[in-house]
Amino acid sequence: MTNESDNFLAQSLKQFQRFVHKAGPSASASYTLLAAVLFLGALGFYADNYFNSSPIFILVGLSIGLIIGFYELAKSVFKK
Amino acid sequence: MILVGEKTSGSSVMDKVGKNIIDHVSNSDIDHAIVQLPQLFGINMSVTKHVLMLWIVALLVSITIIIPVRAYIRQNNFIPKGMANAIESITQFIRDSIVAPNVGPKWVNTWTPLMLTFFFFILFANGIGMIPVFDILGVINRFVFNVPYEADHNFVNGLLHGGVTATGNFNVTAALAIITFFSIMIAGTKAHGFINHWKNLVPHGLAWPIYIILIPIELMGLLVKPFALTMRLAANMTGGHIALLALLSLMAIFAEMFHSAAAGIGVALISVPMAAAISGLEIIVVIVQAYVFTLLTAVFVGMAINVHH
Repeated sequence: MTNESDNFLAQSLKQFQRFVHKAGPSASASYTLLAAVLFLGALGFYADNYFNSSPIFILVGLSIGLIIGFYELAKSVFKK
Repeated sequence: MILVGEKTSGSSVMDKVGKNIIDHVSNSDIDHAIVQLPQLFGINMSVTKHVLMLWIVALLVSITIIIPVRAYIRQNNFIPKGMANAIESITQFIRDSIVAPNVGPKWVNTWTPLMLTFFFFILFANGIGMIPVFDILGVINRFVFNVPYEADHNFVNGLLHGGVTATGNFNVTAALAIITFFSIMIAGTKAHGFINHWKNLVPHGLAWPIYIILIPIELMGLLVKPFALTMRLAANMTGGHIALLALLSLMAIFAEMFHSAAAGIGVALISVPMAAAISGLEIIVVIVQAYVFTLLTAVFVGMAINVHH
């Protein structure tokens, strides 16, 4: 009984380790995608406030953020 | 009781709920610093609530991790006991599940100590936010020692300003993410040399016009990674606490809306169990967020070491 439950726990932990290993790059890609849009969008927002040029820089920032985010995503998806 | 207090002060509960929630999750302002210190190089060096919490966390990590580990090293027996046993399990899990698969066997011993430091520090900083130590001190101060909340010079009242979750502060998470940023640089430089590390940022053998686009994208990508770490940890730690306080505030809001204590008690029958459930969820969040920060740092460091294009 103890052996069975130990075996079950060990197997569960091994499976969890496997998931963690596989999920790492995906998690980093998804967070980078979101952060790129937010970061560049925020930079654009402050640039617009500074130069009084709304909404030019925020649009540029969001577009570049999307490009960088998807580039990072593509890097992790098409990794050799 | 809150309702009576609010009515007599002349402002509604609704006016105070938002401010109260923000006050509970943000750092104490400089006027309510725990220790007032002069400016140094234009920076106010006063000790605020989150600075105090960081010191407490550092002390707790030192006591619960460093002391058992040093005791284990001193003993003749290689079999760990008690606390050292638990620390060994966590250390082994982080080394084998997080660090080794990402950075590779050659660098695992180089980067495991940093990842463990991140994990334990963030875990303790997140966890301490779930323990209402200062709130209990405030209640004792108010109802046992009869010190009014308005008594600003009272030391315990000074401790009540601001939240206790230091990792809910973007400055704290940004500092942790800056460490990650430099770790990525150091990892890449140690593995490939300074010049090659920067060369590895972009794929080799492409037409030169492509590099005009790729180099700025990669450089921005370098900054985006620590930014993602900063935002994710601070936002997650703040979000849970806001949800908890918002749910508990419903009692006072409904009591005021219907001018009846019974309405407040009725809502409490739903909101308090929900808040308790979210508190349970927050305990998982405390562990998961420490784990995710460590995992992402390992992934980013691993990407600098094992370059794939």
